[in-house]
Amino acid sequence: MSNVALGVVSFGVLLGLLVIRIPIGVAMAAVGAAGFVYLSGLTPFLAYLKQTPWEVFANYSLSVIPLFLLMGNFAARSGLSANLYKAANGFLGHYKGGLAMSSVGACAAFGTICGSSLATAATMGRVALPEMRRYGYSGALATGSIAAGGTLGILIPPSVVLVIYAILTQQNIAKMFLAAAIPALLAVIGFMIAVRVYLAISPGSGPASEPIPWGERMARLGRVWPVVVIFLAVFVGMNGEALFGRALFTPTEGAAVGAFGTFLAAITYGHLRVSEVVVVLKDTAVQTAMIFLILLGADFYNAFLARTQMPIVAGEWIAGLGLAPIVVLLVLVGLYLVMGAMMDSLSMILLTIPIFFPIVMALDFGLTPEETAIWFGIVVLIVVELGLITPPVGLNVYIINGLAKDVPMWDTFKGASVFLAAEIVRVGLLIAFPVVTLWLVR
Amino acid sequence: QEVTLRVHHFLPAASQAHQNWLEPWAEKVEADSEGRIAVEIFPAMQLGGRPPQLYDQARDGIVDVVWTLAGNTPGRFPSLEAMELPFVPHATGEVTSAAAHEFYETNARDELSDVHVLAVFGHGHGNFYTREKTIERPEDVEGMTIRVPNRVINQTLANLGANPQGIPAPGVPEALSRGVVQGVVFPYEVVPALKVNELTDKVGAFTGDRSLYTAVFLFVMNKGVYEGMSDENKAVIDANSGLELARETGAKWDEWDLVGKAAIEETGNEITLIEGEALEAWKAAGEPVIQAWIEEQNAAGRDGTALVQSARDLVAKHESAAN
Amino acid sequence: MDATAKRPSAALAAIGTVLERVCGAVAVIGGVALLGMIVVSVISIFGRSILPGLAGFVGLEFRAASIPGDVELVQIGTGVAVFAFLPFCQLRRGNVLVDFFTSGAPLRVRAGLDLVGNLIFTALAGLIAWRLVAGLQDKIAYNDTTMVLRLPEAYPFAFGVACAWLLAIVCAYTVWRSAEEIRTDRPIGPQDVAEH
Ligand code: NA
Ligand code: NA
Repeated sequence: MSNVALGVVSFGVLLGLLVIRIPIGVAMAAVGAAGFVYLSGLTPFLAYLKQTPWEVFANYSLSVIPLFLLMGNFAARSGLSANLYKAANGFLGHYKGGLAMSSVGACAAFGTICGSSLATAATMGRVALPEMRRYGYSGALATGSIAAGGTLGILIPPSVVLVIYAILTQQNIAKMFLAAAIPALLAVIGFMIAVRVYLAISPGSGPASEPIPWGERMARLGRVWPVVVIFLAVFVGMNGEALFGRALFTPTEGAAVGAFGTFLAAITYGHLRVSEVVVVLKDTAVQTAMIFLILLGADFYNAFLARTQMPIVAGEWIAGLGLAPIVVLLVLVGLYLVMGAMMDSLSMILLTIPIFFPIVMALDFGLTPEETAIWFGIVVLIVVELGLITPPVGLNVYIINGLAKDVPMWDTFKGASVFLAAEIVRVGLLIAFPVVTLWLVR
Repeated sequence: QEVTLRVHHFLPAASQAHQNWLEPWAEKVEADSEGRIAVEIFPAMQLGGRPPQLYDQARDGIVDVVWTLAGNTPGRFPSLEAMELPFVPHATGEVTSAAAHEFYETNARDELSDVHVLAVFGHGHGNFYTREKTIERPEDVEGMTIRVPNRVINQTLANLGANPQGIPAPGVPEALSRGVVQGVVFPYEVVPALKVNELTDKVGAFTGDRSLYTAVFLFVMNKGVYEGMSDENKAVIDANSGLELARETGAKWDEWDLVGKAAIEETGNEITLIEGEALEAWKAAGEPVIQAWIEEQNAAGRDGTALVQSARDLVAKHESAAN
Repeated sequence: MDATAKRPSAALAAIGTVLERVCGAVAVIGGVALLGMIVVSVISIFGRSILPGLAGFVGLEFRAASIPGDVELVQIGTGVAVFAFLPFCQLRRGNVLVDFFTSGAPLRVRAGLDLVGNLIFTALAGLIAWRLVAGLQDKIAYNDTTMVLRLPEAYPFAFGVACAWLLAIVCAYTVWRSAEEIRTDRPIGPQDVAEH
């Protein structure tokens, strides 16, 4: 069997295992292990196992995930997030879908302090899901809007994947973030429209509540101050260049400060009892383990896929077709969407950019090389994040769904599908009009 | 084609080392073997794991060849550390590398006996790249968080009241941009690849004929893979490894140092030369580190004094050979 | 449920209770590691950024200092926490799966498929636990230490190995649990961990 065929077959087997309820991390690990052994033999695989689980877990960048989950659990259990949604409901609840729009906005805000879309989705899932359900939102819309909202953060600093792209392609990190501003804004607008479209199709999914008098609205707003203070402290600390000349926190430290502040607020201002801390820790344990088991499975599967050299073969194939530049770009975007079904965004960028980037740079889009690199980068970053919410394998969807056990997986994909449509419109817009991305950096 | 060698390393494919060292090496091996050996290079840890695992990946046959830093696995190669001690390595990568490889052959074969060594080498002058505050004299590092590549330079800076952090090279851009560290030590060569010129604005650049530190690099192959090759394939690998490969590689690093320095100058970063009395102060600050290292080696049953002397002699030998 | 329905094995229930206690306690140890990471990070930020800034504001000199090797400590803490969380998550049915195609199927069919998944996980977890022992032997033999604090890596790694064995045991228990669900045709143990 050729390596490419092997990659395709492995994907089919993975899907088959998912269909029959094999846990996602277990299925990815099993298929990755089998492919690895098939390509490289048993001995190297047994050696790979000696350190890999520890190295995947003991990772400084990934430490934001348990820390933010802990923060989310403190907020959820102490009523801090209920206060937040009471306020949001006061101001936006009498609009249809108002809370889903608030959640998309909250995901974007959380994206300014969190560099991992998995962590954003998981934390917001813990904070926002129960609240949206409480106000009568359908499982599909509630989970779909958060799964989609979680993908916003890749274009908003901090963003691990954007920095990696900039390094791989030798681009200026600050310019990349500047170029990402308008596309990120477009995404927020697109998601707001998507909420309305979803409600037009399925009117009962996001009910409007009775308007609330302004006095009560302001009173509710007054009760969210601890969350606002904690958010501002983390935001300012992580983006402190303007005020202090440098950032005060790393992403991990920002997550630690957020969790610490939320803990203090939860026991002083919220109604968390000290005895409940153990419950919070156990909730965090289950949610963290669920995500890291998937990350471990993804490492197994990616180690195997890298060995098939599928991206290289695909790159050679595209370069050999002799197509018009825009067609090549569209083919690449299509490939990313397909790959997004199997991999996480960081692995995809690491594996494919070294191969696809030179192909794109050799094409003439009527832009300077730097402009081409930035424009292509923004498009690719959006598309790889899209992979997190496309069926059948979408890590964001899986994680949100894992937090909402009563919502069938298919409902979450269904809810995410309108947001996916909005994203496809956005990608089309960015490809057709590079100036949208490049306007701020010109 | 009889053998496929998978080469794994930690730097991006756009780095000098990938494009202008590993790729030409791969092409030469493929050409010399008339296509019997194919070489696939996987940059940026694509085959999984993190940089500290690279050496074990080659030893255990997870991949066939790796390029890694000895300092990534602190304590694993104790004798080799002699080459990294303050002001033992030469100012140029070429001399440092030739000396490092011969030092390995003379003193540290047993420490790398579980792999087939292709080359042991190192870079020349390493400098300080910082924000806010220039590092010119030893006391300037006090209270600063600085990223270091290995145990020896870690100890040197910790003695001076700095807070060193051992972050693998690929993590440096994020560490700098988020303020995990306020400065880094690197040779000029790696500056553009990791965007150090954009993320810092000041350089404390060493002068003189010896370097404050070096990072010993290991370019090694799985032992079983090498031994399983046909004699003619082994001959191809032998012709593309050893002291000469180390020397040529070090010389390439020296060329790229100029490229990296140009990038720093183009960004407009302020370069302060560390010379004269400031340089002497650094040398004095390095002495206790060497003494402590010797005592540590002696306590472990190795002759620390002899190892340091051997490293210095080899650097001097290859220095005069280069002139 | 008809009168002929069988009762779940008492041994299963007893072992389940023990595992619940053990895994819960281990998960709390992991949670404490998280709290430790928070303390280390907050102290480091204060020492490095906040206190020197405040001192400078009132005209005092304060040397910026953070906890040495804080990055290493957080890294190790994450590894310890995640390993500690895995057995508890598996026991509580916390791992994510796609239920779209099977949510309407009878309990026995779902339990049968879960049994297959748990079997695969048992095999993987056992394989990982076995190989991690070899990894631990390497760590001990090579005396691997962290760079800054020179902490022996073997200790936290050994904790991870112990957790991996616990995970393998829990996985095997969940195979048995699924088998009992098939036999008795009734759900056993936690069915839903998400708390709304
Ligand atoms: Na972000
Ligand atoms: Na997907």
